[in-house]
Amino acid sequence: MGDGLLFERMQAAVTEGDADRARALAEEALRAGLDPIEVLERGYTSALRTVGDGWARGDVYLPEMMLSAEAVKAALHALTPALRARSAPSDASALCVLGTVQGDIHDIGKNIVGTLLEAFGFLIVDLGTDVAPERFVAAVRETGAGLVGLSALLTSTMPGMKAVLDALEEAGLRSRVRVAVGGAPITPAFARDIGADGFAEDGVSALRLFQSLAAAPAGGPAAGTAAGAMTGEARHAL
Amino acid sequence: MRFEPLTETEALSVHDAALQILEEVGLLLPPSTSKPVATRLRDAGLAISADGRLRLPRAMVGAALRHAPRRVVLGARDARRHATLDGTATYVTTDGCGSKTLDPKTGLRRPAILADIAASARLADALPGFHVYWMMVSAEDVPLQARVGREYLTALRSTTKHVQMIDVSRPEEARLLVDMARVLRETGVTAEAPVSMLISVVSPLRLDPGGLESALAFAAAGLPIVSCSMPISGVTSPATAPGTLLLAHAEILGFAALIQTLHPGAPVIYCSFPAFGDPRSGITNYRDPRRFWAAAAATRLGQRSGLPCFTSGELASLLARPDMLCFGGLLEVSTVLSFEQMVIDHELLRDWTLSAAPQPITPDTLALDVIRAVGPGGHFLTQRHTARHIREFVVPRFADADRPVEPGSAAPPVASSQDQARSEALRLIATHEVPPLPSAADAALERLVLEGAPTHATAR
Repeated sequence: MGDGLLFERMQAAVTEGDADRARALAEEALRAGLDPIEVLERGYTSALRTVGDGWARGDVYLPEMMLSAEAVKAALHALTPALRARSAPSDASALCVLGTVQGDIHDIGKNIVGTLLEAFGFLIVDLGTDVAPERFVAAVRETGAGLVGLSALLTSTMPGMKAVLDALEEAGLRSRVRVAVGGAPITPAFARDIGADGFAEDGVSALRLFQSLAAAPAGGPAAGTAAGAMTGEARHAL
Repeated sequence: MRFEPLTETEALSVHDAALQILEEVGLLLPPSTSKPVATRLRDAGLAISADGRLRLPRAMVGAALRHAPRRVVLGARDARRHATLDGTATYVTTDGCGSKTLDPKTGLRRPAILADIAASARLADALPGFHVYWMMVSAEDVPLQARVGREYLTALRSTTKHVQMIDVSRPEEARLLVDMARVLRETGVTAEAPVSMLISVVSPLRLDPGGLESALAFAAAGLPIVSCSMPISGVTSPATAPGTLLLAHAEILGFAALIQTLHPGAPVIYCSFPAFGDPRSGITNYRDPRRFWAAAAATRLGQRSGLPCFTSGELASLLARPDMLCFGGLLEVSTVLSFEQMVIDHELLRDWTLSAAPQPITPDTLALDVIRAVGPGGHFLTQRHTARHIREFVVPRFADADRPVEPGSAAPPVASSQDQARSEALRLIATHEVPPLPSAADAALERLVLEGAPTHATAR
């Protein structure tokens, strides 16, 4: 079988959200001696971008995109040893701490974002729900993550986001992480007011946001510039 | 799921009162009624009083209606699109019949023209939720004496669905339509009735002599007739919903009984469009919510009478499961055609249809195993079961398109529902393909329309 045909089958597995087939094809590619980086890009993430484009147009539904992301994650799992052998582990800018802030047990938005980020190669430290500010601080300190994502569904728990930012500041970590916020009641204005580096209104725009934040890690251009750029138009170009 | 607007006892009392109206008050047959029609009525044993009242004994009404078929087929050029009115499905017609069009380019009202009929019929052809094309506007750019034939031919060329004409009150026009239907049958375009016609009794209780004669021409040819009443509560009918329901029921049954008396077995459809007057102006107010009860109750009365039922309205009407429902595409009390409104209403229709549909309870739809598998605290987004069912979900494209944009947000402006619906309507009108009529049929129909009605009047 030619490599092109194999890549097409990988892309089909992603489009159809078939994680088992995606993993098996990744293993087959490794046995055939293909470059794992090329396999990941041509076989999987390119297809996931196409699915994301369909989602942005309204042609693809969220569960379908999530299954596609799960398929890419399954393939990525199979490819990870070979990828590590080819390159250094992911740097801090691709390491992201996620959590729903204290007092809030809603996690569906956070989980969607986590799934999409993982599918695109981010390493996720998911702290779960009802996470106290000090646990975010500890996770950043322990993992050296460069990205933090905060989620809240309730207006009553929104202040918990500011508490995390304050805690990072007090711990002397704020300058080395980029912090993005999201959730149903969150607005770009709120994100700016509490000093977050960005806001995203849905899973795909969150992915775009984290990709842009990872490309300009803390210590680079001034924080906050991404806040506007990641709202609406991010939905149109995953 | 059924909506029961009337108990059986209530329905019986309304029906009994309607028979009393027909027997005691009667229908007015204006002096302009043609002598042959009046003679035929007298020959059939119906007495016309000196003041023009045609009183219908209840036994005669009952006997006449027993001849009416419950099943009526409205034939389409595409046989898969026949509307078979047999109580098993509701067929939706576009609204009609306006005199103006909301111009999609200027956004201004202007007189309706023949091209609007072509465009709206094409759009109705493209939108699957509309099953029958009701003549949506009257083409003001066509001379009155040539209008009906030209309008019908234009619609016929633009849709493969059934075309229903509204209030053809000049008998020669009805006879032209009969001839056109014969051509369509003889050339094999359709074996079923390719045209039907709605004739209204003028509330309260007055027959339109031209309409009656037109209906009789259709009945003689076996073409379906819609016996219709459009009372306006407080204006042309009593100021109560039940009183309006009753008057309409009497008018519809009386007209249907006349047709059956002269042409037993002719296909007749029971059609009640109850409305309410605006208490400030007296003009029709379609937004009085009692209208929907009245339409649903009328459907129940029609069903009891053994005739296919046709009504207007919204979800409540649909829940009564009429054979036909008129809805969609006109604004300002059904006077102004709007292409974007056709698209918006079509989406609403889909929602109502789904609202009225019961959801089956099966192991798969209950999804007990899926709930077990996900357990507390998980989510269902990545379940195969979700992927299998997600395409059944309904997403508004037009009715909910407006999304607020926060001041200062970089989000691009969002087109209004109206704008998006207009774009979709224009796209469909420009791109949707309707198979042409067979050339022999088209040429024969064109000749008939050009020749006009007088030839056909003499042919009878």
